[in-house]
Amino acid sequence: MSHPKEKFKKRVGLSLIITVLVLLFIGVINGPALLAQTHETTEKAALGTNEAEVAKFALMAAAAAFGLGAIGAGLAIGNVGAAAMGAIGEKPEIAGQALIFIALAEGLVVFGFITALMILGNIPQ
Amino acid sequence: MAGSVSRYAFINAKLRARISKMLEPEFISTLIRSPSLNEAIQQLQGTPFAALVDIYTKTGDLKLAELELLKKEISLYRDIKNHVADDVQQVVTAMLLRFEVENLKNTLRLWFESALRQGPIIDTSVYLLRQNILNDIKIDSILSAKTPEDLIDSLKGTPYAPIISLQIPWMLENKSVFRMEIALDHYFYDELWNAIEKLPPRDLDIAHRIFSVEIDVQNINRLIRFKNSYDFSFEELSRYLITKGSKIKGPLLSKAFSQKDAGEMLSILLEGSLSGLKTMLGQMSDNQAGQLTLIEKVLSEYLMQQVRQILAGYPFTIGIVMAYFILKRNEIQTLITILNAKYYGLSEERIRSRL
Repeated sequence: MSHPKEKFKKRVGLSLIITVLVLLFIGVINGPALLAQTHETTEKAALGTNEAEVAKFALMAAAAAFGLGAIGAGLAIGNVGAAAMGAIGEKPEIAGQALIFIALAEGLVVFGFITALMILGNIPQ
Repeated sequence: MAGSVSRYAFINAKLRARISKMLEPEFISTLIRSPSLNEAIQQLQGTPFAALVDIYTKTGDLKLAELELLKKEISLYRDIKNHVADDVQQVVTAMLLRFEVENLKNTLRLWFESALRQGPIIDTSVYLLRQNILNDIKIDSILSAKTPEDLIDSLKGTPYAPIISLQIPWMLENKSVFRMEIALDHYFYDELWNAIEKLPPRDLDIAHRIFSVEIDVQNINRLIRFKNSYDFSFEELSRYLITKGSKIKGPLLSKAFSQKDAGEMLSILLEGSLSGLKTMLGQMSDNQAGQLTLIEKVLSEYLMQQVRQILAGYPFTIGIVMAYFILKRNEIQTLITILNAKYYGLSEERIRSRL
């Protein structure tokens, strides 16, 4: 029988591979359509250089706000969740309290999401 | 810091939850007030010690119930070992060695009684732990060894064979396993210290702190007992003290050794390290048994003070694991003391003075 840690590592590795494959599959299906749309938009668009620069950085900032928020929340939930599981395993009656702390960590990604929305709402059209 | 959080988040929460479920002082008081041993044991129904009720009800043998407690304690260590990082696992493994060494010491005492003194050991040998903890120790082969050579043969393949072998001449000459036991203790503390040295800096600091206190407690205990009971010389006594990690050495040790009174020795050794020491020493009685009980109480309080400090400090360190083991050992020891006191029909007051 393999060690539980090894088993866990294998399972995480397998889920990662499956996720990448699913993303690739979606990319292959939707890629050509998106590419055609981009060409069309480029031809139609006649934005000024300055506005285009602002839009470019704003989109990057929105992506960073949401992405980093999500990573932060992921790390926090990883640790808080592990601690919560440890405590709940011994004292199931504290499950409600433990979930509050997980929700607090989850709040980080909501802040990121709201910030990203605010940035997107201020991009010059 | 993120590393230490992810290393200890799970185990820290798990152990703190377990600590919160330990026997409450009110429950201990109820146990002490129980009119008989049987009723005290029945109180354990519904606690983590419920298995004792079954064993005692079936056998009526308190020593077997104690053996069950020991097995339970060992299984706790094994359980926690599965939830910690590799370097902490090594420390937990080294801590498990304590049980193996203690069991081997008990076995050697019985072997000595049976093989060299020709005494009966059948009644007591059933209370030895017969499961392998870390090494393959064949308890029955040791007990049936007729000569010291057979004894070494029965320990072949374990790290104990060379240690025991070195002590055989002294044992035969002095008709005692005393040095053998000391050598085994030294082996345990060396292994433990070596495992600790592999920890990262913050864990290393905490582990040094707590084990230094534990080693000091052992040394103080030996210093007082050996000096007063065996009348050892300073040189001989120094040889029996654990050197690694101990703060009791050099001038402090010789100053303590030169004192005649056990209370004076304690106050020199623990000066500034234990709050409330003077009040505790003020209760020192004249008889030796009372003095030893108080000394044990003082040393136990010294260790508990360190545990409380660790529990109140930064939570994501090896400290929580070590604090849990010490608290659990203390809880089990308290339980054993109460049950034995009930067995011998001691009064409530006397039981409390021994806790």
